[in-house]
Amino acid sequence: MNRLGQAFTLINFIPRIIFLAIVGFSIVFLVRSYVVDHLNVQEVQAEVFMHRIMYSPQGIIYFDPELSTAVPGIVDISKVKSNRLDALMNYSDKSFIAGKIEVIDAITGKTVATATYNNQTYFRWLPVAQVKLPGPGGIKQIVRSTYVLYQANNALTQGILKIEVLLPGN
Amino acid sequence: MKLGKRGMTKSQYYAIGEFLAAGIVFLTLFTYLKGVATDSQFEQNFMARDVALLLDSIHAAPGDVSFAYDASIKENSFVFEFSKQQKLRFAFDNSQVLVFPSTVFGVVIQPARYPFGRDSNLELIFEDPFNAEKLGGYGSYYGQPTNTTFVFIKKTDDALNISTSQEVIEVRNE
Repeated sequence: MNRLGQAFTLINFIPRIIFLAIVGFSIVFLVRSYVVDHLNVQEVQAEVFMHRIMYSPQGIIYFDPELSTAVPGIVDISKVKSNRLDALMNYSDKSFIAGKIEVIDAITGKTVATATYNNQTYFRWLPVAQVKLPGPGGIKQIVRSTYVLYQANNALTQGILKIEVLLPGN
Repeated sequence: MKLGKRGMTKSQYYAIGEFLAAGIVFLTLFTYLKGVATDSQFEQNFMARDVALLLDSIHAAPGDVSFAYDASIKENSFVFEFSKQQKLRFAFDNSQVLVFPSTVFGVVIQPARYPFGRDSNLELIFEDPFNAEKLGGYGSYYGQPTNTTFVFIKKTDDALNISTSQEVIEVRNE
């Protein structure tokens, strides 16, 4: 076979190689789509984090000393402190989760109290979260708001509890 | 077409190359699938996350809670069953759940870890009938040297109690 003949034989094989690659990638794609080997629980983690803040007796909710019980739905403004949140949830890894809570007056719209959890990490992550980069390297931001009553100066007032959770991209 | 010295044409060489390429792809794929099917890393990760999130949820409960977590894998409804139904070993440090696989030929494989948010206001008590066990050079953890069937969690106003058991017992969650 001369050189031109060899070149034509090689060119004839190119479509076959492309077809083989397509078949190979299709099989890999199908297998990968049916096999789950990665667990992403970030949404659940954020929900649990919020629930701990909202319902834990050691959290920010009002504790009735007469009934000796915590009252979910009523926020004690004097408890909305960053050091209280840090004591409430002590994760071994400081780069695991960070957050911020804000109590807003429902009538005036003014912020009544604010506290951050894992303060340093929160302010380090916040600019990255605002870029909204997906995947590793990015920071996922989950924000929830709920109507609450807040107690300040022995009076109950309507308010909004805004909880912001930051988690490293997955 | 001209035959080569060994009686093979060029096109036959290309065909062999093609088969080799296809073989490498399929071999890699099946090695990956075999690894997924026999490895317990996924189950370890699942259990570590599940127990850590459970501990977080129990921390949030405004009252006393007592819970028995069934850690036997085959009781859980995975989509397909793994070929080796091996039980896992649970261990805890102050703010992490560690799940070890069964010991393979005397070597302890790296555990799956997931943190839980320890409440500094609650005393964390590990009740371990076998005492603290040092597992595979990963430090001192509280846990059993044997496979875990149940993880018991009990929260009161001032303490969180964690213990593990290998006994299959009848439990009723409160």
